[in-house]
Amino acid sequence: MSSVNIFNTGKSGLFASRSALATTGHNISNVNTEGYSRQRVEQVSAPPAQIGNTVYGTGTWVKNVHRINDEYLTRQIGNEMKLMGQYEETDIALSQAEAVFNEIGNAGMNRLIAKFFNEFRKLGNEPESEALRATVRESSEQLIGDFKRISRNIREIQKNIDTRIDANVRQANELVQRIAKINEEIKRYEVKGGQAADLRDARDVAVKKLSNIIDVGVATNEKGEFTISVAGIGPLVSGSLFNKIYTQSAKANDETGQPENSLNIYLENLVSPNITHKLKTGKLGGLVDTRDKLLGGAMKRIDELAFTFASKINQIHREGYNISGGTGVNFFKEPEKINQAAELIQLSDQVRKDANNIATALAPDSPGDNRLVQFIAKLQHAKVVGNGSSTLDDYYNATVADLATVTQKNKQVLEHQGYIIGQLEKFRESVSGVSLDEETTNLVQFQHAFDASAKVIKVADEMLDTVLSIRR
Amino acid sequence: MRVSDNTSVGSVRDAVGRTRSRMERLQIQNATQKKLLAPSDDPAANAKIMDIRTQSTINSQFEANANIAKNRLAMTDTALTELNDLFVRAKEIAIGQSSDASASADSRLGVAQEVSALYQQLVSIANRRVGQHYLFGGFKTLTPAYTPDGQYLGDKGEIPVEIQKDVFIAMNLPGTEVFEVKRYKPEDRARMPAAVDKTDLSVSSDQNKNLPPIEQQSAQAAETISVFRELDALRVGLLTNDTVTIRDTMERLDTIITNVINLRAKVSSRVSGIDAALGATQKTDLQNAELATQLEDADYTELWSNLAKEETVLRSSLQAAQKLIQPTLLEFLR
Repeated sequence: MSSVNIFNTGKSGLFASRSALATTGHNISNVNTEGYSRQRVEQVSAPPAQIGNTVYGTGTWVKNVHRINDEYLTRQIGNEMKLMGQYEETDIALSQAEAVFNEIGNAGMNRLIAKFFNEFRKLGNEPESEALRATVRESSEQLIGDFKRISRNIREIQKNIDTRIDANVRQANELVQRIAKINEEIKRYEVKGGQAADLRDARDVAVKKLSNIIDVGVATNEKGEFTISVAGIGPLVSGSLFNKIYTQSAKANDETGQPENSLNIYLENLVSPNITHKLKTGKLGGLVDTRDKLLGGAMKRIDELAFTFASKINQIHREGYNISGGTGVNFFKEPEKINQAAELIQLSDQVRKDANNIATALAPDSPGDNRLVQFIAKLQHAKVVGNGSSTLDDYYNATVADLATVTQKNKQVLEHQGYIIGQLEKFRESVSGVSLDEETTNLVQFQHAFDASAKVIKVADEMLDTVLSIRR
Repeated sequence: MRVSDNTSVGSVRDAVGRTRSRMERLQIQNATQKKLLAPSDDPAANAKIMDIRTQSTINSQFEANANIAKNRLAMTDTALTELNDLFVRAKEIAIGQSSDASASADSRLGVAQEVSALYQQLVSIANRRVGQHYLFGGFKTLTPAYTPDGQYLGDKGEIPVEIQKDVFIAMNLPGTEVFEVKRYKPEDRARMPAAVDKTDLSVSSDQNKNLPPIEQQSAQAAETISVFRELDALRVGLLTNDTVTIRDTMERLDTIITNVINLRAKVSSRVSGIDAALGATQKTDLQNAELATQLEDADYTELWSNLAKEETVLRSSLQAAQKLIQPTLLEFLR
């Protein structure tokens, strides 16, 4: 056995320690990198050499640098992220919507409905009074204003949702393109058998973010390519190829509760590219569901309330006689359709022009007759909305309660989901995260190995020197 | 379990963040003095509160209604009392002047003057006003109820006022009831239904056309005595020294007085009805207020003890964080 081999053995150790030190350094510098998995040098002993009957070791080889990662955990986080995205977006929109209906600190429709009927009751005590007619009209204007306020605020929240849909679609497209590009690069790096650990980390991060936006399924296809599809709908990424998601403004749809001019979501290269209502989870799913089903549903109820309110008051009011003997006058402008009734509700021209057109009597020329007013006041307790199932107050309160219940439930699952994701992230960190203490220990360990390898070379050198000095 | 640097930092961040968010909520509750900050905090309680608020708004109006009705009825009662005194006096005169034993043509001529004055007073009572409304004109409240010669210009309207949910009470007596007294034959009176406050405003939501008829016919009276005509008859009888006529009026004056007394009983029974309703309403209000407080107002003891508790939690998490994050191997390798 020649001393040259000892040099080689020492050198292989030196190289291996240097790789290990470099990787440790890489780990330390990436301690705060999002989605980074710690890397390890995979070292194997070099193929042995046989001299005579003896087999000698020839040092070490660096076989690979690979990341320490649990694929299953990564997928699971992705799965939970889509629910997280759904709950988060629903929460944002519903918290805004809830503020529209929050009457704990301030006056809203609940109080204004009560006030409206009370002003009529006051007029009932003094049906001759012009001043009280004016206050009835004033309180009606306030109620009308509140119908419009609710309608506009809800519409505003729905518009905000559309803005968010647009932004999220844009981000999803960026992620999809990035994933396709990373796929290509990984393929290029790994063709020789190594592992592009950092690129795989980057791809995992992108997939995680994409899962947050849209419900995706991840798989490897028959060619060994990494593929992503929108769950149950169609392919997004296959290797380096990708399909784009895009939005388009759509018409109101009564069935889905979609408001006018809201955005639909489409996926390229599908037979039926409209995927708006097929998305169940992810931010996009949550946004669409909140916009159409929850807020659209609430708006429909408020519209129905406004419609019933105006037409029922009118129906009674037309029977009555006002102070100048007129009859058959509408109190509100007669609503034509339920859709947008809350936005369009207003006083009739006659009442707006002259409060004395407000009727109080059931008989002409009876200034003291307040019986019509009593009928109007009784409407407050009459079951007239929702096919005669509830009173105006109840219907409004139920709308608020429904929305509040959904909001409350969503807040609870959101909090819970936060815990789940936190726990999973902790698991992932525990497997893949960098521990500085550990890396420091490794640093010391590898440095010692490096020193020792150098010592081996030095010893080999001295041995060679000894051998060379024999002739002198 | 292997602990990486991000795990421990993350745990500290989570713990502190959660405590802070709970403290923030307690802080807002403290500032607003409300337990409920948004409907979703407790949807059921929120719905109940809205319901209570509507009820209390309506109830406050019912209370106002009741007081207005009481005021009107008190004015009516005053008028009825005056009317009673007036006719008692008229009857005294009629009794005094009906026999020649105690009176003469001269004395009759003299008291005729007084009856004239009583008549003026009667017209004034009939046209009694509360604010701008005439009390006895039925629904025709803006025009005098009676002409000076006793012609009724009003109608039979009874003005309903809601004093409790679906409980209506008439706050006036139409002039016809007071000044046109119906005399029934005894056999008819037996068949008459008991006097009911007939302000029945039953309305179903879909049948608003089904409004109650304006006039409600009661049992056929045998004779209608006009209060005005009777007093005038007395005056004419006195002037013309006609004892037969004077004696004739006596019985009718009695009927009139009885009617006034009945009406006063009716008015006072309405007032006690209103008082009962008022009492019930106020009691409901009190209960509702109590319930609303329980549902939405913050409980100070609980709030402060919770705040103190969260503060302790925050302090200890921060202290734990200090122990958890600070020491690293590097410090010992120097």
